[in-house]
Amino acid sequence: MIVAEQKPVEELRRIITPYERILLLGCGTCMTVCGAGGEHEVSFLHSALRVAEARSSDGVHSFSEYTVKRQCDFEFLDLLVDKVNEADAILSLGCGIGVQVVAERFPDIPVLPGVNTSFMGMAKEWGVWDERCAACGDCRLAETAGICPITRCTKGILNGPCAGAKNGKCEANKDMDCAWILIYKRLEKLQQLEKMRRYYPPRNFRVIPRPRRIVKKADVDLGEDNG
Amino acid sequence: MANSLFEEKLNSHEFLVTTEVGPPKGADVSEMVHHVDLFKDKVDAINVTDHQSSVMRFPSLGGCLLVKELGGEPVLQITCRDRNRLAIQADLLLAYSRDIRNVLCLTGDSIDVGDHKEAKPVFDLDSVQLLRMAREMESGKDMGGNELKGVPQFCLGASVHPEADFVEPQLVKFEKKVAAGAQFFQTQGIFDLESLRRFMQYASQFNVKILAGIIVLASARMARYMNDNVPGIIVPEATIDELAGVEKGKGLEKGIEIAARLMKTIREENLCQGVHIMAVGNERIVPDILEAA
Amino acid sequence: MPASPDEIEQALEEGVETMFLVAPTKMRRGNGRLSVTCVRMELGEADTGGRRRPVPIEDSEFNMEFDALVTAIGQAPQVSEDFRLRLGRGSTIQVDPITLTTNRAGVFAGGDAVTGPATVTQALASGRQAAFRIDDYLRHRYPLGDKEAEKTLSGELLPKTIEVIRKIERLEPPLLSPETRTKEFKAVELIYDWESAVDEARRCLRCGMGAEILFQDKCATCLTCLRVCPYHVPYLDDGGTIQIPADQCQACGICVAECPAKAIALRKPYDRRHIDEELEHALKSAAEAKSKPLIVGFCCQYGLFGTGALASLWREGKAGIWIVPVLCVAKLEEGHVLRAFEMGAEGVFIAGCGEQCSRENTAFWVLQRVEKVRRTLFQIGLEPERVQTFNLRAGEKDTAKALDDFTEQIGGLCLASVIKQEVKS
Repeated sequence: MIVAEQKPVEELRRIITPYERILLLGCGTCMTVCGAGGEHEVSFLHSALRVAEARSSDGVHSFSEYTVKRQCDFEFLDLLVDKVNEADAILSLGCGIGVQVVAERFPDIPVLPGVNTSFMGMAKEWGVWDERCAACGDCRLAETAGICPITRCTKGILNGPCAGAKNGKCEANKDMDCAWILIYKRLEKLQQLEKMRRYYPPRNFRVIPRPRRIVKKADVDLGEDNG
Repeated sequence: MANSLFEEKLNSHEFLVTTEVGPPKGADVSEMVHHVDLFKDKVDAINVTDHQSSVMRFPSLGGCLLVKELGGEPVLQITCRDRNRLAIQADLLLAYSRDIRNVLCLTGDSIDVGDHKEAKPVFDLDSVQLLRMAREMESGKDMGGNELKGVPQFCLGASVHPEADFVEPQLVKFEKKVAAGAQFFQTQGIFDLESLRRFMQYASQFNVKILAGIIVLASARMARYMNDNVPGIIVPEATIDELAGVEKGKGLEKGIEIAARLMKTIREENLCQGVHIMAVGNERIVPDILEAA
Repeated sequence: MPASPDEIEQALEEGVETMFLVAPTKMRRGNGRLSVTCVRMELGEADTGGRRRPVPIEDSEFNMEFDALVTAIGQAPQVSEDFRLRLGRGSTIQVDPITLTTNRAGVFAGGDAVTGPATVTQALASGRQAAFRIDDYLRHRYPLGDKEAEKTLSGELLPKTIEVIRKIERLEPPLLSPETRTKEFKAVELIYDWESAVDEARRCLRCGMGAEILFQDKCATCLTCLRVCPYHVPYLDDGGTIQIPADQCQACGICVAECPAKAIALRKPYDRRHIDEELEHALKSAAEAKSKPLIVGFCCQYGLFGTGALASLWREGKAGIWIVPVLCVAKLEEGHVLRAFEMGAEGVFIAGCGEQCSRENTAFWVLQRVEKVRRTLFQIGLEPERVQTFNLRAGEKDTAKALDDFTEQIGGLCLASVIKQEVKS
């Protein structure tokens, strides 16, 4: 799931400075799950911005709020037309995808980001999210016992480990386990250590020319005979 | 036919001594030149480090050119942290064309431990892939499968970490490096000869040369700092205590003593094919160690 | 009805001599005394109820003399004959079990008068039932007979929930000493003191029916409620939907406050009594009273009664401090605190019951939310110290002092900001 962190309120206030009527737009899917931009957070932010406004000597901003089910599909955004007409800018608490889709759907109004989209990851426990997937486009989890060397190894190397681990922790981040030690241990448990002994050639970065696209519909020929 | 002087020596049964110089942070290479002059005739090869600990410095390739000019035998260190495969292949071609044939292939420390923490880490390759790539260039093709006009030849080395606190994965990696074409290994710092012996029992089945890395410490504080902050270095408590036991100002002397002692034992017992002395920051004392050992 | 163990205990303490299996058969008054003939009994065959009936032992009569004889052989309703109600066994009033109607139209009966001696709880239940039935009657509706029968009983609490629920022992009320008791007719059980009474009231089970996912379409199945519930109540059903079973939920309110989608609400109307409404009310009153500086105190209502300092504030109001009672501060959301500031408060404090809170994890969640509010205040240019937490269980003097200090501090901050404004302009 996409995990993000709300931008600090100071930064948000700077971002909205040039605009008067701000629509705070929440997202009911990933941003709700990771606690960055669901209805709860939108409501809280709304309140905070109002308090800030009331106490500033030149408060010009006014706010409205709404949370859609998802921001990354146009259909969900159709509900917003009226609200958008009454705003000068949208502060979207959706992930980076949401912000861009909203901007594409409503090109005549500035759409501003309210969160820093960080990674695709999992919740280890309430309030703690860890990165798990880099969307490398060339998944090799079969070779590494289900532990991704690209996200969980700081250097993202495929023939690990490097020599930097101490006490099983990564040289760059002492709170994180060395992914390759985890991979070794799990392959050992699965009796598949030969997978680690194999040579893995360099990554094919060609799968990631940006922006990527996946097309699921086939190109079919609807000639006269196929009617 | 050996590709370099160093490779010749590797193929002989001499006990080898290599060391390293750390290039300056800046364009003023006078100190490095001075150090190279100090020991170029006393060691079999001089490594020039490549942004060691991810601290930006004058490049290894430039340093190796200088070593060559001064009449020493350089070992080019290439890490995968800062360059993609195009840049690395290019550097290898340049190195070869300038007669720099010894290459130590490293993955590289992470950006986070260095002084440009916001830089983009490259890691297009890792050390194993780098070794393979260099060997493939020797057969006349680049990584894209294209013919090379002017085919390089190298003497390739890599690093290994026998004193890692969890050593089995390091050994898997070691074997992969051997399979990928590494001829010689310079180990991470050795402090405990028992673990070196154990490692050599396992490593001697492979046709590679092992040079035991010896780190010269200057104080207990330096040792602890390295334990906490420098990847690949684990100084045992016994050594730290030994360093702590001397009076102020004598730390470096003690460090030299410890280093010389290790080197002597390794050579006398023929534990491995040589040593690689790392005295970064204190390169001037390298000759002293050689004397004492 | 057999005597309760307490009563037997107390009787023995008072030195009452107990004679078992003795039955009086004759009484005669003479010489200012009562002469009672008793016969000894033994337990005979079991009756249809399974209890062995006492049977007199032949020729075991004996006499005893007393100054007074008090019969305590059970309770029975005293129903006046004028009521013309049909009575049954033990003088109880006969009623239809579902409609609670008697033989007279428009007359309903319930409680001990119908069942014979039973518990207060049962009497309350039948009173409630009667109210519904009377309503039906007045509206010419048939009773919801069948539906009544279908009402599902609350399930047993699951062990994983029981384990977490704080066990607070019943506080036995103090008794008069046996010596005192035997000499007078004063009530034997003394009343609780103020704090004990509040503590006892806090033991209310609240009988579940707490949280429900009111807006399933908003629920993102983020599993927050499942993870934050101290009682392990929400669970994922086979379809992957979160269920919060009504009969397990302890109504602590943590999931309601933490739900990122605001999809959960408390079922009972009075649990849902909106803190916002209370807050508005408090702040409106404050505006009318024109009091400055304005401090809002969210106080646990269960504990509020036990604290003289805050309770009197709540009743009388002190210059500048307005209490908003909350049914356990675990329900107080970070948004409520900000709202207080939005509505003009200069300072907010949250007073909970600390260790006495009958719910789990209350302090942890309050502090999480306070941290977040403080961080946010700081980012919008307000001092984080404007939000404080107090413990309602601290001593009277400590609470009063803490309040005074806080009031002073807020006053200082307000002054500082006024000066800042003046300097700016």
